[in-house]
Amino acid sequence: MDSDLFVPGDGWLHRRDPRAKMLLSLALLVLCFVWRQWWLIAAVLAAEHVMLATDGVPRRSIAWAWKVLAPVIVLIVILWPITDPSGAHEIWRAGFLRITQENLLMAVVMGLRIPALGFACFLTLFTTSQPMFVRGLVRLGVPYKAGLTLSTALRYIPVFFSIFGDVMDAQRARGLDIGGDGGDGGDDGADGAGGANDADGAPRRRRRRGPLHRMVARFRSYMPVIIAVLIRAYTMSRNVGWAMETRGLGMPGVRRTYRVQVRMDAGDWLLVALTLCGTAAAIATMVLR
Amino acid sequence: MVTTPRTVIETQGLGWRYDPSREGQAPVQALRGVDLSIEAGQFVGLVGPTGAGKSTLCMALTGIVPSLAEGRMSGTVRVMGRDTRTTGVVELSRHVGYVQQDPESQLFCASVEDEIAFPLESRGVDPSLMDALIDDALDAVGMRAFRRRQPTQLSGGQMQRVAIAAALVGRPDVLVLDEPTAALDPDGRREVMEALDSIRRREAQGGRPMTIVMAEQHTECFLGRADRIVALDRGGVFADGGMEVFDTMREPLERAGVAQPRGANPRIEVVGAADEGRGDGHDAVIALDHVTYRYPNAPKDAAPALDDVSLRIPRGAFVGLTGRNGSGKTTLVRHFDGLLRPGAGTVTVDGLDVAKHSVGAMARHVGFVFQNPDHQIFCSTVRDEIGYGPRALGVPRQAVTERTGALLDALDLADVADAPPATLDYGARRAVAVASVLAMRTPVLVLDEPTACLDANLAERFLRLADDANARGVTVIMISHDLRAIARHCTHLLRMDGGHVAQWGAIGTGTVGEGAV
Repeated sequence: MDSDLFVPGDGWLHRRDPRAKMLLSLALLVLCFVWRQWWLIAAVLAAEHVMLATDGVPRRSIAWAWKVLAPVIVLIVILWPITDPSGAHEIWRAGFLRITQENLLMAVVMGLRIPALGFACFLTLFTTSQPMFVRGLVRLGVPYKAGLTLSTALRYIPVFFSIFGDVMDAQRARGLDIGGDGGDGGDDGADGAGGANDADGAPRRRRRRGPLHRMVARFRSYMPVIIAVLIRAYTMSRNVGWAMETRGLGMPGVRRTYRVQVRMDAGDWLLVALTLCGTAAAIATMVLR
Repeated sequence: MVTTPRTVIETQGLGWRYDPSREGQAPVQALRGVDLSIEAGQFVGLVGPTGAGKSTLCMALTGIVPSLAEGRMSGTVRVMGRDTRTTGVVELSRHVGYVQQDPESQLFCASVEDEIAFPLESRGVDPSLMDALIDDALDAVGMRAFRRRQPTQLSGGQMQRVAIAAALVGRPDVLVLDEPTAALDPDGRREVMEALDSIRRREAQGGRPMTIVMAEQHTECFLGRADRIVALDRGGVFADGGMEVFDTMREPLERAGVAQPRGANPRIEVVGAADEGRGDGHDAVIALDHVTYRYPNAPKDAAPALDDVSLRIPRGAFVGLTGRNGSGKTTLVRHFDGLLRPGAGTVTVDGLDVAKHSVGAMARHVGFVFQNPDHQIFCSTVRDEIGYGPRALGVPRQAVTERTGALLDALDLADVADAPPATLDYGARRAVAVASVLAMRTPVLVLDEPTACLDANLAERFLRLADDANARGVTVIMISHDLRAIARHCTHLLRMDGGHVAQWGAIGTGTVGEGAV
């Protein structure tokens, strides 16, 4: 997926007013932030998938979203028990590392919360075209330039993922050790190439390193890729800014018009009503318990 | 009724000095003392070597210089009677349309129709009129059928035609194009130039001749179109006249690296073309055996990017790899170092089954120069950048230093050896990228469009370095649309078409003439 986040289509979510979809996304974001019960968050995550599937968003786009979220989910699920040693029911302990039923459960909650939050956003982003998105924000009172900036940033997310891939290929082809373990990328070493020697030509002995050291080494190995992507991102965003100005963005003395119009219909009001009722019911249940 | 003044662009003593991008670096004087007067309806071709100031002059005509770029301006620029010092870019955009070199970063909307609607919305056009105006603008560049497509789904030539339509829909008096065909194959280049021809005809018929200023390395684009050629070098104008300047100023233009406009491509005779996929070498450094590859995200009904390709490239060959965009050239070479793995078949390079080795391991055997230098550059100095590859391969320090020094001299980079490569001009960044791979001294060297966007001198210098490597026994694979370069430098021609090998064999001697391959 190297184009827009928006997936062209004509499903029921696609046809809804962007303001109604933004309210739905916002409500789900707030609830998933507040809830600490894994089954509630799992239910929201399932509901989000049902909504996207019934709208006709292809599996490819949903798989792409999971692929993007996966590293964050894995990182948080692994780091949570390490950084949060709380909990009365200890399962295992080694030095400062303490695994408890409570922090394990919280790791699961976080592992569900990240995709639930992500897909709450994708409900709007996958089904709302860029001009509709901007138009919806403007109608909600957001200044046009702010809406355009936000929608352009979202529009370029997949482009930057694609650039990241291209840059990584270019760097790996120069022998960059992306694995960060001093090897050649980690999957063979049949001929000892790709950085397996020291600078004086002597064969490098593989050293056993701790998981933290390996994690830092892996992060550092990505630095050349990140630097190159940032350079490209800078020039690209500068050129986009120039292109916008040379096409009259913010022309003095002119009131901007919009080709795309947004109008709330009965279906939109129904979605707003269901969102508000559902949110109110969820809050009431939490307060009354 | 607003009448167009006879002189639409006037520069007097125009100079521009870019602010240094880091402390301690000298400012770059991009333009100096440029005096130009361009009349309504003229088609002006801007030529000059890489880094001559063509792009900066284009930016000065749009107001980006001095309003948005960081630097210091001297002299004056007046466009349609407005001083660019006191008139902002947005205000000038009522009169000037601008098309940049990179198609990807100037199409910022999610669909073609949104791109064209953007300038209309900015001008407060009645929404009920917009659909007809969008169709009209897309008709002018032959892109109406693509109205609802996402720009990222278009080819480079199609993207540039959309950018031209977006620049034209506001009915500017002047259209400024900064190397709009630089990233395009010959078909894309032809599409863009035909679109410009169509627009000029329409505007002339409407009694409103359009002024076009176009910077371009492919000087054949000006044949039959340009009324005037302005040649820049080191920021100053050194030749100005009709197309005859290519004859009257031939020597200084060639010295500056400006290619002569030439029509038809050379005819390249291929010996043993019928022996498709077998090659002629006993010692094949690259061997593909029934290789098929399909991109994971490609539609199910799409043809594979490589379809049952078998090929043996002899050690020491200099292969010119050509074919239209999307024919499978890049997909093919990405199999040589394992960036792509075949869905079926085997790829053997330098005696190694690529499928069994990582990309990092293959880097010892295959050097790969990508077209975009910014994808490769990340070190803090040019010296470190060139030395990075050999260091990663474990080459001893002394040898790395020697190789780096030799390449710094060969590519005139010694003066900027300690500068950050990312801050250099485009030509120098390309040179750094080429040097950083040549320093690895791999037995196979892959060059992806090594001469694109470069002036003739710099392109020739890169090709001579490839010749030198080839003379040392390195097998060179050069993706290129430049058939003249292929005819002059390559020993073999490989033409891809639709994922198949369409033509493959040794280039015959003494059979290069005029005409198409």
